[in-house]
Amino acid sequence: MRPYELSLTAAAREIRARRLSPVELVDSVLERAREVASLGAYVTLTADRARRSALAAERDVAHGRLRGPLHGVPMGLKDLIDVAGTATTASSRVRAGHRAPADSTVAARLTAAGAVLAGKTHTHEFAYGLTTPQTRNAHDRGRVAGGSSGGSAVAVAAGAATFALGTDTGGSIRVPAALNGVVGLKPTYGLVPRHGVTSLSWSLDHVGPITRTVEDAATVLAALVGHDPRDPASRPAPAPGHRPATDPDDLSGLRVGVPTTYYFDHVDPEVADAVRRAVDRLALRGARLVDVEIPMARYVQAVQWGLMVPEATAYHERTLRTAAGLYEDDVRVLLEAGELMSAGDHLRAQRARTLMRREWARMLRQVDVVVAPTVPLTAVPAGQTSVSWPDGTVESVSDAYVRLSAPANITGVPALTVPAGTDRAGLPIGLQVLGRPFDEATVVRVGLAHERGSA
Amino acid sequence: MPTPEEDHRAVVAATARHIQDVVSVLRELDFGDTPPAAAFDAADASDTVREEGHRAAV
Repeated sequence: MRPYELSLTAAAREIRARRLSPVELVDSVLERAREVASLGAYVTLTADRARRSALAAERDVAHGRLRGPLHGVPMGLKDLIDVAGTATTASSRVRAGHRAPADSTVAARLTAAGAVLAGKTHTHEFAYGLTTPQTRNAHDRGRVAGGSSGGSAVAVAAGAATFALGTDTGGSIRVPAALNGVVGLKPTYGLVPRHGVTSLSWSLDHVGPITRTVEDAATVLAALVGHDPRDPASRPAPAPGHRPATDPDDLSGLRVGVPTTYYFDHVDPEVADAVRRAVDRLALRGARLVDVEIPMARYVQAVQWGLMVPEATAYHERTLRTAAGLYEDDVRVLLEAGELMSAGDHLRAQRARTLMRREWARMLRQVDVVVAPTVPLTAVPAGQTSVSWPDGTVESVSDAYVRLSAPANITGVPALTVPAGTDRAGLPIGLQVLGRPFDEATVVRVGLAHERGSA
Repeated sequence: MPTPEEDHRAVVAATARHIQDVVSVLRELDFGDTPPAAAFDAADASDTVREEGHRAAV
């Protein structure tokens, strides 16, 4: 196995044991990134900086000093995340000439934990889309990467980063992670500070890891959490941490909610079958399956749009006046259309969020987690704009991809996607695990159990 | 023939109408005294679960 193929956990272990040098690992990942450059995962590869950091990490190891659990491990950061002295392009011409004056909280924390920046990864422009057209799917170059954190997911899937960060406002970590066969974790709203991360929609935005294993995701999350007063939504991390205290092979007593509504409606049969098989395997490990009805499902898209659309337009208000022609057409249209939403519609979405939050809290008293598909269909060919379902319903590709992810953004609950096999075309399918606010430990526990069961 | 600017405005107007159609479904809800949640507070949601659990226990 070449160094770029190692999981974060394995790479960090090899570095700690001095069987692998950070320079070897970083060089291997950078070389791999160049080999797969045509996938379009990166906006910028920061190779010189990465080598300098790797050399410093190697010297530290030689002197018995480890900066943290990510010592010498190369990462990709979605190009909405500020790194001092580098451009945060948001994959947009609007940001030409940008230089971040300081590190975002997450970049600073990962650096403090020893991680090495390999580069900045592509996003759908300003995170306002579900496909990331600059980037190709890691499993089939003719298909979409998913988005908006498409570059991060493809980099991790292709071995061009050992781990990456994405952002998630309606599914933008989980969708590309699922479509490229990797792990993505959208933490509880407020758990990971967003200071220094370009916003799409303040009240729905989250930052989280994209990795190759669930354990890797838990390791990155642990380095990211902790209160930061510069993000008004930021909350202290829960004391017990995010790793399960019990053996993940044994799910005895765990109540796993299986949706009877919404999450299996308009879902490709191959995706639904793969998820149901995964649920059955959880039951074999002792989990008790409980049918749950998803509350207020009819209003998910309305609430998501009623919150996100005006917030995104507000964020871009000034540049929309001065540089509208620099946005890609799809994003400009959405931003300008957002100016026409009434305050009444926005307030109704906010009030509906209050109701939805209460109803989800009630549902999550009956069960410990809910398991569901992450996306209703695997990666579509690039350029496909709509999906037709057997009952005649036609849905845009973006609406389909965001549909099963958005509830966790509105309710703020943690949501993990883990690979759950492939369809007949060999394209990855994602299993989603949703939990109670700040109960990442249980979500991770179920993810680990699933991963072990399907290995 | 419409100009590119007129075409663009028509696309924006059509998109805005579609968005309004989607969000209009919220008019079905009876909100009563429900206040808006300007920003979601997950900590508050945990408290709500604990409080309701406590009330149920009492």
